[in-house]
Amino acid sequence: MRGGMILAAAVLCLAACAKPHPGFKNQYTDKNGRVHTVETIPAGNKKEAIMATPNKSAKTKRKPIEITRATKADWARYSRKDPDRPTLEELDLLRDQLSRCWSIQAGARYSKDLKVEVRVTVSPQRRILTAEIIDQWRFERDNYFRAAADSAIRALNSKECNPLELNPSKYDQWKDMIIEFDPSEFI
Amino acid sequence: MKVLYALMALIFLATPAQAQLRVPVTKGKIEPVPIAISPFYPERPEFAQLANEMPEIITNNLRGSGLFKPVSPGAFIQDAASIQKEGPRFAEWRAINAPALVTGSVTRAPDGRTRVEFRLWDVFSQKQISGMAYMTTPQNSRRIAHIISDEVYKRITGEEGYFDSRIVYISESGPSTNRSKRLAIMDQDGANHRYLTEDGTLVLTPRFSPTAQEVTYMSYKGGKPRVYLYNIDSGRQEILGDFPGMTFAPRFSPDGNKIVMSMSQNGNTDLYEMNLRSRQSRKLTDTNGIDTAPCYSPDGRQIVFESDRGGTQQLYTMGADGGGAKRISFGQGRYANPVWSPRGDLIAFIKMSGGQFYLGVMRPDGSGERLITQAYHVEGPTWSPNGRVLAYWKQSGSSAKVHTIDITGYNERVMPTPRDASDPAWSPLNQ
Repeated sequence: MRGGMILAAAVLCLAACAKPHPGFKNQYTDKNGRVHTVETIPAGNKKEAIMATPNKSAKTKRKPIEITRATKADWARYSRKDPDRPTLEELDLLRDQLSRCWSIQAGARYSKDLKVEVRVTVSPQRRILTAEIIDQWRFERDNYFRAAADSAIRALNSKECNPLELNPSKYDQWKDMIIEFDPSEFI
Repeated sequence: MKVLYALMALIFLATPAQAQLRVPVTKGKIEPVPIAISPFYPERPEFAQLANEMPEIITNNLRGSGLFKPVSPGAFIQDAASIQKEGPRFAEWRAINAPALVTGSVTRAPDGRTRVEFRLWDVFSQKQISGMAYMTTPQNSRRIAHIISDEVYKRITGEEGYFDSRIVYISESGPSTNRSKRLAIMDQDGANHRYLTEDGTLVLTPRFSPTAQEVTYMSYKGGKPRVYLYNIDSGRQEILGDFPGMTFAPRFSPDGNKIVMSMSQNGNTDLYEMNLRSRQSRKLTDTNGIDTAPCYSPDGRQIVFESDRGGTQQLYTMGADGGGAKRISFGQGRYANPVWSPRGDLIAFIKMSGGQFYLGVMRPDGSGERLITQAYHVEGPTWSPNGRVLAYWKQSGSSAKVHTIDITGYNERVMPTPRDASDPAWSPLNQ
């Protein structure tokens, strides 16, 4: 009786084509024998993203760069060799700022495996210019990952994280960087 | 090959200027996501009430989940009419700190039906990230609002929603010596409350079928304990069988074809399964202890249950055929009422320790035990269809109420019920 109350559902298949609700099919017959169909309507807004999330071209062009993770000792050695490199203190300041902007979905399923890597470009005024999810393949296929990636992008777009707390004199070091949002320690 | 990788790593270490800066962020804030839910645009004056009600229901749903923080409509700069005409002015929504925006409209379809449309926007990327439209009659607006809430929840959290679902429970009234217990049902937000059984009959432990809008429950109608099967949509009831010695209603298997139950025979309580088609029963356990409160895993391959076969009341898992029983609870106190999460990752249970009752969750192997709420008396956990929220009943003094809580232990809420409430059972998503 309740299922038959809804007369029809139409799905707007848009940027992220939502599946019909489990209770609805493309076509079904109600208890009175009436057939109802789903309609498809094109997306209404064609504006391009200012922030690239996701960047469709990245699917084929960009691949994650494999970089050996530096230890604290390595980092200290780099800083000594290269005074332009951000110091550990400067990096901690940035990490603390990003932590304050990042709202985590506590209790999310598979949170142990939801590390999101975002390639960002930053203006000399220390504002995020572009933010691009590196793993586009997973972004387009995994709802959990997509939600985690969206939360990372929200953090990078938030007022609290613009401008970033970076040393302006080391612009060449941080104008293009990869930020890894890893929620595995939560839950 | 390994040598090559090592050489490449050394090159990176030796030439730091070429290494791209990587910044790991492993901490964050556990905070609800701000979301703006704009009033819907009514195409005609007669749709105005519907256009106002739907955003209210969506707002209450999302706020009630504890994962969203709806922005106050008083802060909105752009109105529904201009959204309908020109689309969202994103700068204005960014200005009020709304990273997500829900807009909608109520119009008349060419065939005369009411068309409700919603769109979910990512304000920062200025993109529409979800959208659906439904054609219906105005009296179905509540359910449409729940379905829209589920879509928004799913797109932003990655998990299925649970708003288009219902809860059955036992409505209680009268003095403790002559307590009336009736079966009642309501939407998960407390709306559309109604009674399913008459006053004056003792009913207990309702359980939802995972595949149909059917409920089993125990009834002592005529002084005889019987298990009934109640179809909520049709109102049809049938007796599943007489089960002397049964204290809990059976639980369905995930495919809805079998039930598992405990029965007491000759002073010993063991677990049985029954095929609902053939009505054939099979004994699953045969120990001297009391084996009771069985519940299937979502894949139907395992059963979790409570037993005192080891000397104290503890939780065990075993294969669905009754083999390979294994104790999984090892903390202090006694454990009871295990219920497997629909997403399979957790088992909810009741723990009794130090004169207090606790609601807790643990992984199916018994690891990661977390106690998420505590009271003088807590019982009857039941999972929301997405495995994210638990409903249970809590007694304080002479009053009992159904509560809900997020699995993180945040956002405990009391379900609004006209009378005292116990033994909740959460439905699957409506069909």
